[in-house]
Amino acid sequence: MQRELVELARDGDREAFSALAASVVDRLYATAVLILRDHSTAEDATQEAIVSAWRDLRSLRDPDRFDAWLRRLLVNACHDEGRRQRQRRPEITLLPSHEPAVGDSSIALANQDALERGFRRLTSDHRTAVVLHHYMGLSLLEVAEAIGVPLGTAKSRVHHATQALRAALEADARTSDMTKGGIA
Amino acid sequence: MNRNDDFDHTLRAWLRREAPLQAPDRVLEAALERVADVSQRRSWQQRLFGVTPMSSRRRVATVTAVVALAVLAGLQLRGLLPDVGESSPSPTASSSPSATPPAVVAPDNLLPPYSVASVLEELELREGPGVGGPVLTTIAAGQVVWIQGSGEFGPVTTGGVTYYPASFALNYAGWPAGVDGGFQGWVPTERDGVPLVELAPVVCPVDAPRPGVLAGMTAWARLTCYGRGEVVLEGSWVNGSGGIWPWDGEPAWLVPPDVERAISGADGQFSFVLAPNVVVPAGLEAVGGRVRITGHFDDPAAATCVIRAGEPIVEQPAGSVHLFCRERFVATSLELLEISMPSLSPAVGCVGSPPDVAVVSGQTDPVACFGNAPLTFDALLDGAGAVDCPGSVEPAWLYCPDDGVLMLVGETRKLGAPFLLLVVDPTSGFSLSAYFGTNVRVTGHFDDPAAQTCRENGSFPGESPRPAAGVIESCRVTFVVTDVVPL
Repeated sequence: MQRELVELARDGDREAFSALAASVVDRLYATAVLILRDHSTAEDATQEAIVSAWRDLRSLRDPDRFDAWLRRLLVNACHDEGRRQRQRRPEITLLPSHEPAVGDSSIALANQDALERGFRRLTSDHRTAVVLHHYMGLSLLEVAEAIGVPLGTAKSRVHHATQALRAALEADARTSDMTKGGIA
Repeated sequence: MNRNDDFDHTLRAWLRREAPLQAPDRVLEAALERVADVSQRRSWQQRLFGVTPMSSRRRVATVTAVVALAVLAGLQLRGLLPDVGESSPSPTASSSPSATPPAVVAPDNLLPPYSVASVLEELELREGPGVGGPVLTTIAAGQVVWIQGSGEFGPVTTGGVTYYPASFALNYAGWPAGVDGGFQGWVPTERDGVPLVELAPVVCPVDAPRPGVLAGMTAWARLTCYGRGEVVLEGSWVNGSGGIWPWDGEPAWLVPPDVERAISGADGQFSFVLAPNVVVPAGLEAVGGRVRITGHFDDPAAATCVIRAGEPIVEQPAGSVHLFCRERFVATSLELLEISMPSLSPAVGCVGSPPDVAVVSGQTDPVACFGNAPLTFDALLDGAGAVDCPGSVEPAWLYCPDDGVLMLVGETRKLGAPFLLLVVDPTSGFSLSAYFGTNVRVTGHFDDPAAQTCRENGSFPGESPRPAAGVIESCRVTFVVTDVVPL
């Protein structure tokens, strides 16, 4: 079904492209929010990826690779939007979103905060690698393809980002232990 | 479960929690609103062949056929393809006054293919005939448009308005294809019987016709100036091929995609067809040589011309098709003056260094023009483009030109702007990504030595890998960046 839509859209069928975009927009947006950590910027990046997909669809040689190709466009769009955002408002620090928790209730609140802080300290490139690998479930080879870097670089980014997040959690745990010890 | 697994589980759970389940409706709405106003970029294949997308299998066959023909004949393909097949007439080429009256006048209510028309009032160039399609650009009164003859022909009348396929570039009187900011679409030419454009007058050259003079004229000007009169041309023989014209038609010897030849002089190359009874001297096509051809425009057989094109495929308007065929130069005799090896360098149609992105992106065979000489462009580096690649290729960095899209300075995200796909040799130690969205000076070259090692190991499902020669040719025409500095 998706292949047919891609082929139609590639031939200039806007209705087919609309259907295609509707089927992927939620996934694109979720990924962009995680990478950019800002809903407004993520909206822009998602829009940009969709428009780029339409504009450059004829360069897609194999319709079956639409998803991978679109991921690449999204990563590029996130990179561009992130940079623009930094240029526009360098002084603004974005606050964490306070949406109702719908995920795994087993994550301790302390861990959530620590992950949030650690995640924000990661570079955009490292956040992207983590999101693609751990959220989207891409293999390291697919991560490399989506980011447009060699496999070794993708491995390195995922490894270092994960290490940094782990360190953030452990540091938080140590602080928490010391606080508890002090009270006791 | 070890500590690593625990952490990974925690991280994944947190990411799922943080990810919104749905995008706000406005995201898709806004994106699709923009899509409605955006045209698709032509793919690199379309830039190469000037045709609508074809299947991968057919594309492979076509690439191979064209490359093989080009290599065998030592041709610069540019002169054989529909987008550029009419050479690149310059605005001054036909500006020398003529003392003789035109041999052919335009039929009433018809704009000939490959003619120039002046715009009488502000008009919108649209993606298709009618007001339903998106507006590509607005054309002010006083500008000129080029009426097209490749692909589909006009006139097409809808809602009381007549449209023609046309090309336009702001303040540019020459052939707009491949020019910075050039557009191709449909222009309204008449509304409720009131003309919106008028055919620009043709001024015939006083010089005797020679390949360079003819190449510098519009097809319509050639027909107007020479009519059915005998024209004798001397120059180097250039083998031809059927090219990839987006149509089929009859008679086959007059309407591409039948074989089209060219004759090359010191100042240009001119394409023609051979009358059915003309025999090519033995050995000429194999080794080339100097020839004299005698022929004419406005062949009587044009009256029987039929062309089928478009989506869906339909017979094109007879009036314009007949004019298109009348504009063909038919060689009725061919005399071999001297047989020799053709000169392969420099290729005809090449421009001197430094070229700009528009010129290079319009080159079908940049290697023939520039070899692997260093080239420098001042341009905007746009990272939005990406090209998919088969599963297993090597070297991947060269085969899949997805490191960025180089666009002209000042053409930021301008639709239809010429662009050049780039790659960076990973051993160079730098990345283009830091420069995306900025103006840069880029140095690099075509025909990287690594191109000779290009191989496609994987392929699309159900298809065979592309032949090695075609893969190598693809790599040779990829621009490899060796240096980049911000401007």
